[in-house]
Amino acid sequence: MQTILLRCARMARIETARYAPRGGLALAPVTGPPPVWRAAPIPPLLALPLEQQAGAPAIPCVAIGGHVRRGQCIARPPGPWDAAIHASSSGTVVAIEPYPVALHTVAPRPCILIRTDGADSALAPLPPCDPARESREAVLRRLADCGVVGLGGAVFSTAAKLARAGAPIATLIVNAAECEPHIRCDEGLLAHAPEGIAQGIQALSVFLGQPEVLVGLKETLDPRPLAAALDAAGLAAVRIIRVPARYTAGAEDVLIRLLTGREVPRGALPMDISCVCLNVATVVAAGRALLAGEPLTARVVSVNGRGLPESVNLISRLGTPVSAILAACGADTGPDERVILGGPMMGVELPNAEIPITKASQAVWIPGPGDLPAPGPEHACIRCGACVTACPVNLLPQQLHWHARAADHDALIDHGLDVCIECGCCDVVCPSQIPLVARFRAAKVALAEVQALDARARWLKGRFVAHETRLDARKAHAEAQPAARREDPRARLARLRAHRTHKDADGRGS
Amino acid sequence: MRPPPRLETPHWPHARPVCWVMTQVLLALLPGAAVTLWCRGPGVAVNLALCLATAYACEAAAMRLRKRPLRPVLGDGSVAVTAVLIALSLPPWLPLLLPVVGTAFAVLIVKHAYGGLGQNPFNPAMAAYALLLVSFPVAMTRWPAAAAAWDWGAAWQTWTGGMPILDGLTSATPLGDVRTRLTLTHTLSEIAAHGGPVGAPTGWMMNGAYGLGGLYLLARGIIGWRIPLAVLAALGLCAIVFQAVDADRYPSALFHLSQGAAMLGAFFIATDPVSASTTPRGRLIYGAGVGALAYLIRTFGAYPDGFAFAVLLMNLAVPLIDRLTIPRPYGSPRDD
Repeated sequence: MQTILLRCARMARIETARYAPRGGLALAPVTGPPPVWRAAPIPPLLALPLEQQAGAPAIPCVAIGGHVRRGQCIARPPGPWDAAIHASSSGTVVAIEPYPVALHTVAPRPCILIRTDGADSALAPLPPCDPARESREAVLRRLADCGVVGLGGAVFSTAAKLARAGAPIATLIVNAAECEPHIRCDEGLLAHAPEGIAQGIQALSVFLGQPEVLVGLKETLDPRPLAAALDAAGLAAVRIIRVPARYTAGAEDVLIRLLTGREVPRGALPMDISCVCLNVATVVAAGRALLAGEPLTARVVSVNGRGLPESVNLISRLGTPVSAILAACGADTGPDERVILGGPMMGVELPNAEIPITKASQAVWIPGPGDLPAPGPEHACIRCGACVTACPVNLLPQQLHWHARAADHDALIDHGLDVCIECGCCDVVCPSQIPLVARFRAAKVALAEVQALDARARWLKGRFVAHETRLDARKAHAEAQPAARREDPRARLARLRAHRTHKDADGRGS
Repeated sequence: MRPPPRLETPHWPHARPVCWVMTQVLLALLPGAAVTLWCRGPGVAVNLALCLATAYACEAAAMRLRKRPLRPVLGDGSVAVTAVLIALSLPPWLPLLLPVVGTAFAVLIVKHAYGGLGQNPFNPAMAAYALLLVSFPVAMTRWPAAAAAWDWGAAWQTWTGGMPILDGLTSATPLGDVRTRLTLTHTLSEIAAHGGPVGAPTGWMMNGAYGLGGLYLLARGIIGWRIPLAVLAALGLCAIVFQAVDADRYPSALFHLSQGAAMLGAFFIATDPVSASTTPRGRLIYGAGVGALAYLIRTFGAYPDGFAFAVLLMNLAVPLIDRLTIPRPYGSPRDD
């Protein structure tokens, strides 16, 4: 009887999102058994990019040839609340040099290369940092020092996020909506590390001043392990809200609207509406950093696609090359296989499989035949409006496309180009096969350049105007006292002569 | 050899290309075209053939003149939709030159002079219809009676530009018939007592068939619900209001929705995406404008039906409507 009551109470806590999604796509759901959960072996070479967070790159603090241990800080954060980077296994630093990595595009970026020794000896973990006892600064310091960043792909420093949020915060949203197909790492965490999630939620809610906690859970995922872990941790007030298994439900802004009905104002961040949104993996990493003193050295990478015997959630050390990930999953892939790092909607296609995993890498996907868009010519826009229906943030992509083509920057701002989250929904539904997302990215760059020029022009104009005002004021001042200045011309001449004689005498004397 | 990596996202196949959309529109026009052919005789088929041939020839010529590749444009099927819509709006027996002139005008001037597919501010089919109607008012308002639809002798004379059809062999459309008789100070009840307006049952059949095709397009998600609903609602609402004022002078909403180009206009012509409004609210306004103007032109104008001019007038208003109905982007203040 008691168990039934308990179960009822638990089920009552699992709610369905009250606010309807707007736009988005019902992309073909990934079916099949739940992904296998296992760890990747240590690769012979680790490549750790210095740019694993939004913002400036980290500053290396190890010497080439030096030995490092797992968990050792190898690059210091550049800013006060930026995240550090740690060695993900023990070994020797062989180089600090540009190495191809995939951030938004694939390009050589500064990396610390570590030749692993296989021993995987680790530094002793830091002492626990209990948010209930430690100061706010100490907690933020710990999160930054342990390299915790948003693991949902945006890699925004969690310490910076929480520092900006201030306390108390009204709502903590835990993002387990995982909407992009072929990304199943959150699913793995929910099934295999629900206790870690519960601990992370507990630590963060203590830090944030006991906010309302909402877990946005993809409706096809099993809520029971998490509900049980939350109950065990005494977090009965945490609400689990199921959100549609629809693409872009997991985008931060979209999820906040789905769960709370509120929107993050344009140009603002969720913290500005007293809301903090963290991915489940980030919550786990934050919990580990605070309670176990463990820096972030590995993440779950979801590996799916053609030639793979099964769907795998691989616990991978940061810096592991994609080829090692694929090998660990038994991928039957040749060197010519196309590989996408990330999901199909927002991921980056890799030129080769030696690109390393970073904190932003949620998934590795090998597209099968027919999974990629057929290359074809772009047709004229017929203004059908399919993109308008698909846009999750209420834009008119087709109008944006026209204004981008015309480089009409005012119209682009009016139509909300800055609101675009580059999700790709408009691109997929476009019958004319227009690469809209690519256009919008280019337009954003162009707009930023124009705005920078405008800002400089405004600054220069301000300086000019200030100068003119100063001159005018001086002139007006001079004209305001003409009587004082007016003197008899003869007297003036005499005065000047006297001055001259005096000066000459001075010159002769010296 | 592995192709170079795509720099663009998303890595997901595109849905339904333009040619698929256009094919679906043509498919949805099939029942309406078949019923029209059955009701109005083989002249419709002649018009269809003429319009299609002219349209493809003009499209090819225009692309050649503009030095653009031919294949993608001829393959996308948009020009076929324009041609079929023109052919289905024309009276069945016409001098052969008329469909050719109309279609050539639609493709060369209305479409390509403005920059081709996607750039034309006016609906090409309706612009062609309007051109023919104002230039050849006699030929364009002479609809053969059902008995004359299969009269090949008369047809031959019409094709060659003659004026052979005797009064007994032509008839007005139901809309025109009602209006003519109303201007002759008949009341609607008197018209009903004399067997109702001429040809009303064929109007029912054709509109029913076009309506079915339209529902198919809605079900396939090729057109949105906003424009057709707004057109039909505005047309019906106007009819209801005027009928409430004077039931003996103004026919019912049912009559208006079942006659003339109501369904063809609402589902196939007003929904032409290129010349219609593109914002969700704008589409409601645009559709309502088309429906209301069509009613007014039908009722108080001198033309057999009002859809062509209603659509063209609303096309003119589209840039303004689009500008005033930009949806609020996520996160923007609610009070704009």
